[in-house]
Amino acid sequence: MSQEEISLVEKTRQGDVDSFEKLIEPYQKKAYNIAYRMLGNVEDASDVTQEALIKIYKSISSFQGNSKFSTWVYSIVNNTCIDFIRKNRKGNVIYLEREKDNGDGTYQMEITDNTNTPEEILDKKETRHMIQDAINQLNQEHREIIVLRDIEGFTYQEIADILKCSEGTVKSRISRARGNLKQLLIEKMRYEGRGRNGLQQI
Amino acid sequence: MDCNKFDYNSSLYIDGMLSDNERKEFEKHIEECSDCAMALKNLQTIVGCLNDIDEIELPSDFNTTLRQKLTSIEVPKEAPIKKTFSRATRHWKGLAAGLVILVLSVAAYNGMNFPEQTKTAQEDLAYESAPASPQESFDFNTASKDNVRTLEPTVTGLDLKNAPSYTIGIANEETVEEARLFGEADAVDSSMKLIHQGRLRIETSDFDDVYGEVIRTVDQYGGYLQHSEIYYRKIFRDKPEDSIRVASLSIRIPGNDFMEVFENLRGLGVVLNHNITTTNITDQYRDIENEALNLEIQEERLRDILEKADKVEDLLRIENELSRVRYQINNLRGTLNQYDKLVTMATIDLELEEVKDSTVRLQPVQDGIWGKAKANFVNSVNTIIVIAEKGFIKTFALLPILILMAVIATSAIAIYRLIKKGR
Repeated sequence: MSQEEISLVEKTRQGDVDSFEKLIEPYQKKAYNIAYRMLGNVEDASDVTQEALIKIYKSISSFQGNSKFSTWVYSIVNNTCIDFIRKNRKGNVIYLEREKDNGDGTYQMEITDNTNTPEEILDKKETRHMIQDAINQLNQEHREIIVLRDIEGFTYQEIADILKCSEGTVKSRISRARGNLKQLLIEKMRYEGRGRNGLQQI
Repeated sequence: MDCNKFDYNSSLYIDGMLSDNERKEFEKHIEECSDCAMALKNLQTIVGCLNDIDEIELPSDFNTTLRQKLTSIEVPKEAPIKKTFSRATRHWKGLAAGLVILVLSVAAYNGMNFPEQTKTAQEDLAYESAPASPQESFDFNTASKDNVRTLEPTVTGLDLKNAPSYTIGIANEETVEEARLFGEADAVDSSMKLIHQGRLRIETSDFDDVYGEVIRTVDQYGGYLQHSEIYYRKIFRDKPEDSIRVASLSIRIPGNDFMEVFENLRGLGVVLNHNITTTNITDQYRDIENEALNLEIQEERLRDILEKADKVEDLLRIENELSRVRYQINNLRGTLNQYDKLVTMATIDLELEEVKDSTVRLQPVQDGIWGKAKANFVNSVNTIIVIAEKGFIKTFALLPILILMAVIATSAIAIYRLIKKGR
């Protein structure tokens, strides 16, 4: 944390809104993008980001300085998103819970894994087209880790700080989340292919 | 390496998180196993796509709305004060709970005349908590006068504060008397802002009369009922006149008459619980008022600058600042109004309980542990008998249904057999 940030935090504690705005300026856009990818629409993302920033403003005195300010900010943003999702969860949302832990860090798909069929299914152009949809279908634990790692490009260590878990957990969660996402995309493409070409592919 | 572990490692491989040994092993496996190579390629495609996703821009009004929200919340430094306060109340809660337990256990130990005991105990507590009530009622009279004064839109409040107290008191002779009695020392206190709240629980045998009396008192003092609810605590359908009612009222009365009304209400029945809370908000009130005044001065100055400014850019900036200041002023004034309302009208929560003369609690003879044990024993035996009786009755109640079902079942079986034979 730089000297400037420390003095801004101090001023914010005394209730200076200008200092607070200067303090969070560098993080706003990324926070907003995290919220957008987590929630999937612009309005909610804007509301939730602001809610999170206000939470940060209110609880700035509880910031100890033993973690990086950025990870502290992003962890609050992430938690606010999850709260929002829980609050607004509709009855008809069903998340895919298809893998189970073997207990030794590896995992198995409960449904037969079609990825090992020797054909290259994923086409880059099509994937790009469907990816946000697929992300929205992941459960929130997997969604947050995909957003943090692959879209926002945080390192494993930073993610561990944001989610307050160990790096080992981050590793296995990323693997699982990606596996799930791959599965989802493959199913989507099969489905669309079927829609276009009748039942040719089967 | 087997293909199961491959899934887990391929993700780490893409991110370069494998150790040298693991990586070599992994790369070797890819060369041998074409399925895994394909799976890795798929995964790489996905991660590549995810990395390609561009960041979106913040909405254009993001910063302005955030600013509004930020300025409308309290200063964060107040948080620690609140914390110590809640800790203090926690202590009080603990103390209160301890007292209640003590009182209850003493009462229980002394036998069955327990309602009587708690009643007096609660009253004692209530009196202890309100020793300064006459003093408070006086402060209040003068405080509300001050309130009238502050409502006048003057900046000369300081002069008024130093003015001799009798010039203010003309409107009300009684308060002049009191002001003289208490002398100079109260000239300082006269600007106190106090919020009064009272809670009262009364027991009475003529519920309707007392309820009417309460309403009359409220009317007489120019107050109003904020909330009123009457319900039955016990209903005897065969003997409606024995039913017991409870009224729960929330009364607002002018602050000056608070003590008087409270005393009147106390006289209406047997007091079960009595509680007065007075909050002194003078300091907060003055702080907020000063802040508002400062902002108003600032607003004036901004307007002056606005007149002189000629560049569009400056104009916009000043207007922005002006609207921010105005917003804050409105906020503060709103809080002050809210406080004024609470000060001018005090709140009394009144609970009125009906008791029947015939059901006035009998005082059983002190019969000690044996007696209670015996009573409990008899109770348990009675319960067992009742349960047995009910069970017996229920079986009889079910009997017709059972018979009916048996008839249907036998006939169904008979028909089934007939059909089977027929085939």
